[in-house]
Amino acid sequence: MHFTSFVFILFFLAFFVLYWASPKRGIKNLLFLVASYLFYGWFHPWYCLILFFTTLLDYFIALGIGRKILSKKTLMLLSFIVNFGTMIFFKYNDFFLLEIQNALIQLGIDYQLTTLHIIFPLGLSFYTLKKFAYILDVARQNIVPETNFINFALFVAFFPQITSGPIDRAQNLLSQIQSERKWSRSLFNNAWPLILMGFFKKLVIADSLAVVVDKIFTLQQPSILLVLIGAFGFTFQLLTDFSAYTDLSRGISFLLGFRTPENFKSPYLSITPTDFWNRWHITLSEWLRDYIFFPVRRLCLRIKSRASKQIALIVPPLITMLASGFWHGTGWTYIVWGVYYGLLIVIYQIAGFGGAWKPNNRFKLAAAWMLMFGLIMFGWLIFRSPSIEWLVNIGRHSQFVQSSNEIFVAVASLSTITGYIAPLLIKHFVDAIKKDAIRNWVEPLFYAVALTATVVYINSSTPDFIYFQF
Amino acid sequence: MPARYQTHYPRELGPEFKPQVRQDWREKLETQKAEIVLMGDSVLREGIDPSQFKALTGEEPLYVAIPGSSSALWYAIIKNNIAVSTHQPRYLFLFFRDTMLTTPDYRVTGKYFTMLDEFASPDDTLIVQYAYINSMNWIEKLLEQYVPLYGNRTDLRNSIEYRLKYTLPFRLLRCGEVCVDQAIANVFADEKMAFILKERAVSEAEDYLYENKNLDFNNQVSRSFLPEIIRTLQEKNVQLVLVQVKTTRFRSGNRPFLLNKYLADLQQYAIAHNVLYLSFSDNKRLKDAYFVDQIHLSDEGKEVFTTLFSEAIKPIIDTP
Repeated sequence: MHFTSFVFILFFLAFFVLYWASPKRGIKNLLFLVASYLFYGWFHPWYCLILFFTTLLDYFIALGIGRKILSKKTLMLLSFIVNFGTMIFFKYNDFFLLEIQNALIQLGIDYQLTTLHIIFPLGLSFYTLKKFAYILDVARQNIVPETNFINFALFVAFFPQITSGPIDRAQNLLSQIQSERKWSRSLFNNAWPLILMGFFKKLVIADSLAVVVDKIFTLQQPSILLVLIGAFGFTFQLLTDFSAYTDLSRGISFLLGFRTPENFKSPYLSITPTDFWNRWHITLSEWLRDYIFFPVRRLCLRIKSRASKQIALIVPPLITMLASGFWHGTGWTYIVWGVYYGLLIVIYQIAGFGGAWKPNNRFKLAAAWMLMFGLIMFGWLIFRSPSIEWLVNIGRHSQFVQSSNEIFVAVASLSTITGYIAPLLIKHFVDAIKKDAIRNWVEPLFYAVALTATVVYINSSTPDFIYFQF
Repeated sequence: MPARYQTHYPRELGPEFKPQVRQDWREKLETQKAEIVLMGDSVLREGIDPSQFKALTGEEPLYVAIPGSSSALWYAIIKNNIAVSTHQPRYLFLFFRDTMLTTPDYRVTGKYFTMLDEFASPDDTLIVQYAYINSMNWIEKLLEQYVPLYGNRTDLRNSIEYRLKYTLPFRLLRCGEVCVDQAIANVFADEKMAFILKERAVSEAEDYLYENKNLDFNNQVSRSFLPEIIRTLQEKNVQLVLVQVKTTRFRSGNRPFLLNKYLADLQQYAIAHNVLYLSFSDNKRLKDAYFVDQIHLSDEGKEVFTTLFSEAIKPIIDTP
């Protein structure tokens, strides 16, 4: 069941009525939990079993930590093994087996390993991080463990977030689950622009860009010009696709009385890699920062060596971004992409452009932005490439333009891509308008056009959101 | 607005076909006076070599191999070209894979609609019903009838895409619609696609045929063009032969239960309706190595399949 599907709209309408008709919080939460499992099980019923058993285990582990049944470290380790073990098993089994197989072939051993071809449960990467953050927060005594299983299970399975985030924290979501919720007009007022923009970005922009991008990335050996255009298109396809999901998720949450976090703050206006990760997939960045970067940095600073400061400058970003690469997918492209960002952060920091660096004049600002945008685009090129060999082969053997036909295709593709991303720029300027008198007619006009375009671009089939696969 | 633009309100469901119907296949059939028609999509084009077929059987077939075609287009050509021809063939061999014959809404939108529009006329209400209306839910039906913006969305979208795609190349490089389309066809030609990526794209495009709904033969058959194809050809005394081709999507032992059941039901249905059925799906002489992707054969495979097919139909076409 996708957010943009007909089945979901019917499901949501029915649930919405029942939910707000329920008089008590406990019934609302139970209903929400059932709906979340129904939503999740719609993709594949057995997904619910993994979700339920790992939720149950983490529920008891958190209680165990609170009641000091076993040592914190033992229980945290148990949760880590179960959560990440499950994720690694489902996500990487074929990848590791194939890599072992390739290594054996290199060594001259012809032994056929059986790959399992297990379907990766949607959203597993997202709710694994969500649950483990909860365990760590309980262990750090940042929160008290939830004793009501329904509340905790709803926190994990919360259907607006389960397949593609945002990776919400217990401090925010669980506390709202524990509180009373009342319908008010402001919920609707907050929800509709998000829902409209979610549909618009997904159906009009992302899916249209995908047509051009997918074609270029299916070529055996495209020219460098075409690859750059493909990367440019993918840069915006990914942003619109993923942020559309977040917008829909947040809009739906608002309609159900929940305020959930933002995930994007104009990430392509970043001027440094650190700045980018503070604006892109914010809930994941914060998770990585709080649970990997800071602990690794603290560990590095504890090393009794003259070089401990240098180590603390280099190692934490590399490990954090490598983990981010692993989290994003199975394949060398994701790992190289993670290392690439790790190195970028380190290089920027060594050069003195880390943290809250801000250029002191407009020329420097423009130059920093252009450089960073190019680096972001190159990062997405690695990320989207079918394989590292494919990318290396293009770098080594492709010409900038291989035929005059490519110039025609390049211009047609570029004009299509820029045509579809133009509304994003317009929205950015609309949001920046400060005068109410102007904003009051420009903003509704923009939404009217977005709604019209969305109706025109509605398709019977609903392609997956890209982040579903992570 | 509907009055201003002279459109029906409420709008009729489904697309409207142009009144002009191409008659290429009727004309070819009348000129060639072929006794055998081979019909199918790119799998036929990459699977059967008409000259080799002629050499092996002595028959020159009418070779209707249209890449991207599907049951809706096959039905339109049979009804509006073959059946109205002054010359009727003895046999029509319809090449299909798995559930294609009873998935009427497969390949009917976007560029496939343009292909279908060339051979269907406004009188083809059955095509509109089976290929489009039957797959709409009630919300879609309401929107299509009562919201002109939604009902005309395909035209509007095409017009936006046309402007985005062709305006700039023409203004900058004097390369118009034909020039851009030729350049796209050249740059993205089949042989320039990466094999594994193309394989994945082919597999994804075929996924629809294997959805549970489409694997239920008994539910799908009455909503499909198959009964009408059989009836139209039988009225004209043309013997229909269904030819199930081999694919590498599922090895014979690994074929899902529902697909096996579907194929058994289809075969039974064919026999019950005096339709001949040839299956090459488990033919061991068609090795996996002959396939360039899940469904298409290499030149070597094409030669083998043409031989196999010619051998298999010899007893049929030799019958007086």
